Amino acid sequence: MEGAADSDTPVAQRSATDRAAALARLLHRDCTRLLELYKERENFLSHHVPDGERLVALGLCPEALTTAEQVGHVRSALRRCKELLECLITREVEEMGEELEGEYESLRKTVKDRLGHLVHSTAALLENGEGGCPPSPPLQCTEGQDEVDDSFAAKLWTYRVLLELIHWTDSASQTLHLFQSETQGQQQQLL
Amino acid sequence: MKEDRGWFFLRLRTLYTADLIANGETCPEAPELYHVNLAFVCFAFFSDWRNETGWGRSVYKRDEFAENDESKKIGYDIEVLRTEQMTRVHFETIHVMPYKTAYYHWKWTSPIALECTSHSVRLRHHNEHHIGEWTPLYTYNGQDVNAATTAVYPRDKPFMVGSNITFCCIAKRDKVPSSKFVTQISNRTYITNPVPFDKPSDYPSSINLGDPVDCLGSALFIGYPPDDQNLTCVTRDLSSVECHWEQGRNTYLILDRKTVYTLNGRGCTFNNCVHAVTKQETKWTLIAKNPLGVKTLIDTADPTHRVWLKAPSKISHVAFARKVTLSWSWNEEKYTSFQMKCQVNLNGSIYNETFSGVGLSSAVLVNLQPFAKYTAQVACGSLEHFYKWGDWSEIMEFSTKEDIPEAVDVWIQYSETNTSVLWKPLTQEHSHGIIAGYEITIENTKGLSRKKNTGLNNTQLCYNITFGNEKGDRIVTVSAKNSAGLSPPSTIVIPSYPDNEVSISQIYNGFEMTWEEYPNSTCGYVVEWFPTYNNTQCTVEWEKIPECDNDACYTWNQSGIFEAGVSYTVSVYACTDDGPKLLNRSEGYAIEQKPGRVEDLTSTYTGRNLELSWKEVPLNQQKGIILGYKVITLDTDSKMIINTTTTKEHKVNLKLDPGSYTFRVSAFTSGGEGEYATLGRNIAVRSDQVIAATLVGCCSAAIVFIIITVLCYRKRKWVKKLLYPDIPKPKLAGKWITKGIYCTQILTDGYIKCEIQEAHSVEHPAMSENLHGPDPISSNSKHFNQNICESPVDASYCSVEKLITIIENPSYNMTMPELVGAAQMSDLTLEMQDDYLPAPNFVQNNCVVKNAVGYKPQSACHTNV
Repeated sequence: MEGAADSDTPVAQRSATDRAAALARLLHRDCTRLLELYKERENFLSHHVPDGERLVALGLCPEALTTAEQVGHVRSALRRCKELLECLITREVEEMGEELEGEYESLRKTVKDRLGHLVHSTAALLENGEGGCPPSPPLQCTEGQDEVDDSFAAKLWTYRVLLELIHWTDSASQTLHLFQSETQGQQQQLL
Repeated sequence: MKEDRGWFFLRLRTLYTADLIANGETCPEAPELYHVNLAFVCFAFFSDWRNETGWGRSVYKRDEFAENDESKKIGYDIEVLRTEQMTRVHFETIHVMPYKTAYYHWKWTSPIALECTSHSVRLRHHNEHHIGEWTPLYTYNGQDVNAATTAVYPRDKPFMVGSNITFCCIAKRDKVPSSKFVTQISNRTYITNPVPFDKPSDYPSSINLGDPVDCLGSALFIGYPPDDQNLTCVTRDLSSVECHWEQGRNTYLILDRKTVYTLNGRGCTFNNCVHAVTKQETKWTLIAKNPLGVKTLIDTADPTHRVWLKAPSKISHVAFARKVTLSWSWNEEKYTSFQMKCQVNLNGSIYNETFSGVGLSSAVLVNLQPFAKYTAQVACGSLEHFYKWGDWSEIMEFSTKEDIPEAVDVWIQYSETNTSVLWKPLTQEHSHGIIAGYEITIENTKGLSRKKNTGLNNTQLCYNITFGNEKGDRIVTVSAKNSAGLSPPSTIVIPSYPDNEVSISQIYNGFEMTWEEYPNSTCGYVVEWFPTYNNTQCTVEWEKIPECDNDACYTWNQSGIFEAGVSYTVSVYACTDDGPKLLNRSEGYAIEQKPGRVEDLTSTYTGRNLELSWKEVPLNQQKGIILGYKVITLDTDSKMIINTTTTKEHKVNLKLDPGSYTFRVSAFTSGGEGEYATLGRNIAVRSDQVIAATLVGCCSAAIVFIIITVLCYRKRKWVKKLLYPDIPKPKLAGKWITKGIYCTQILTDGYIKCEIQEAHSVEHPAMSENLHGPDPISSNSKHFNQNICESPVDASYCSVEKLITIIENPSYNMTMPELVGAAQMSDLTLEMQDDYLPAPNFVQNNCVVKNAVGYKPQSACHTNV
């Protein structure tokens, strides 16, 4: 019976990694589309190059040596992205109300939900939780937004948040793919 | 950090010295710049001031300044200065009446946002003789005063669609913003040319101004002022008024920029303004306001004339056979004392009567159909000042009870053997319930007998009448019965001797029966029809036409009730007290079709004629009036049509040569040509004709032969000379060759090796050279021409094919189908030894090959000499 349980575990582990990697890829496509929709609405962004430092930085995380640690780092970044997206939604609802229900608003909600799933599923892949990153305090939406004092500045900030989403979902997709390959290789060696 | 988008109220109180004016009146002591509103939204000063006494609330609009006597007005100069450089951007003189206590209102709109740079305003008294001193400046500082600020204005402000907006950039000191900011108006403020915003947007409309450091861009809310319309105020509960209106064009402004409403000064939300009814209040004013404008709607009416009742509740019913009583209640207390009228929607149609009363709560509907299902709804309105019908109640379903059936429709049918009484089944509309059965009573008109049968079930619709030995007409009465009772009796008189003597007229393509008025008709007319060739019992149909005076009463035309291709007999009867009187009868087809097949197609000879005959199509298969028959004659072998004939008779005569034929005969109507009957027939030559023709032929041949024989005998010398002339003997010249065939060797494969040798005369060197020179065929023979043939041992033949193989002629390589035997060769040798030269070129074959046709002069086996 013990042997059977051992043989089941890799399969479950592999399929969870598969699902997480697939979700990351899907989320990356969603985020890319979300930015497209936003730029369709805000034409002035087509020639705008954002400046300033990244919104999501992993300064407190130690250098990631293993792929599992990298997955932990990515998860921390995704969690921060999710918080930023929630702040973004709150701000846009405050400014435009909840009556608007176009493709952008619909996809915005989808991305938020899937981001939550991805954060949860990557946590399940890690044996040591954060993978080396100390747990960060919840983001306050007013944090670091002193300059976001009008609608135009809010749009620039939204643009940066969407770029962060694309960056970190792409990073998650690649890291999880690598993690999946390594996990698969290890299992084959064991067999 | 968000700015307050409301109004800023800044008050400034300034006193200045009073001056005297020319007319001796005291000038207002000193205008006091009392109240300056700075509207960020439209960059406007709203400047209120007062004269020296008191604080009032009256505000005069600018266009009221010019009212009244111009000579009594007092003038004021107003000056607007901009930036720290105090550049005058506006100067204006206005005239107002010199009221002791008054507030004056003046407005000026700046083309740029007031935040862009400092704006100052001052005013002074001004008349023909004297110009007063300026009030102290009231200055609203721009954001460029604050050294730390860099920003774009306007931002996050609502603007009307179609606005041209000038943006300003407050840059850092000694920094010049992007090229879009074309004009510097202060030390740190630069402005753009006006930018048009022509489209409304649900989202803030953004503009990229191109300066990434200080003034990258701005976002504005582009929309419309309120456009609400059609305000209507009504009362629904008789104690409050609720007002409704339509929103009109979308303003594109939401949240704190969206339209706010007040009704008679009290705030409310869109389309939901409810106020208590007061007798004095008959005017309702709705003010719709957003940052871009105000719309005022007014509705004036007495609330008692605007009553819109709610729906009755708890609707119930008490149903009878032909009427129902509907009852309901009201949830509003004041309705019970209100004069109202109500209408009923019965089965989707408005009932033709309304009901009225104080606090009406019931209505009786009459003339309903017994044993029927109904739906009903009730709605009510004001009786005294009707405004509109109130809401419909919920739909209520009910069914009426059964009532006695209506009288059945009775008719008679005569056939050769029977007389029957028929009646039609009652429809649901006429049965008034479930028909349980029928009762029939048969009486002799002379009162001699009476027979009653009450046990007919509800499916029996026909009853046979037997006259027996009794004489006299019969009176038949039929009634239907249901749970409510018997229907009124339907009576018909059946004459013992029916009057069926009437001429039948043929009709074509549809029935339209017309008849003349029958004076003795007492109860109208009856049109009866049945299939002519399938008149079984109880198959008659009829229609009763009531008595009336116009021509339409004597015409009957029905389509769609007759089956196509079926012959009908249609009769018209007058309804009299003595029984039906036959007036008119016709037969025909409503719609004709292709007929059936002719029967018994036969043929007979009459001399050289062939007569085809057949029987007509059976009556029930004719399906129309037979217009004729079509006869097609075909050659049986080739299937070619030889002849086509049409005839109206049942036979046709055909003249045909001997041969094999197929005949097709079909009937046709106006509906088309029916199926054909087929008959095949061989027409043979007669034997006596054959014998006579043979004898004549033989005799003719014998006579011709005899004549030719006699002529040949008598001219035999001429014939011989013509056909067999004498042949002269050949003459030989010179020496000729000797030739022989030597077979010297027997080969292993069964052939004999032979040599044919010829010796040429020396008298023909040229020929020899010619042949032995370039001719490859002769190259092996050197001095002699030599052919070597191999022949099987058991046959003394030289195989020509073998010869072909040995002596290959590239240019005449023809096959040789026959073998040349050794004996023949000997003959040839002998023949050549004979000095005969048939041709002048001296060429001769040594290996001559013969076949059935004659010579083959270019055989591969030939050897030229």
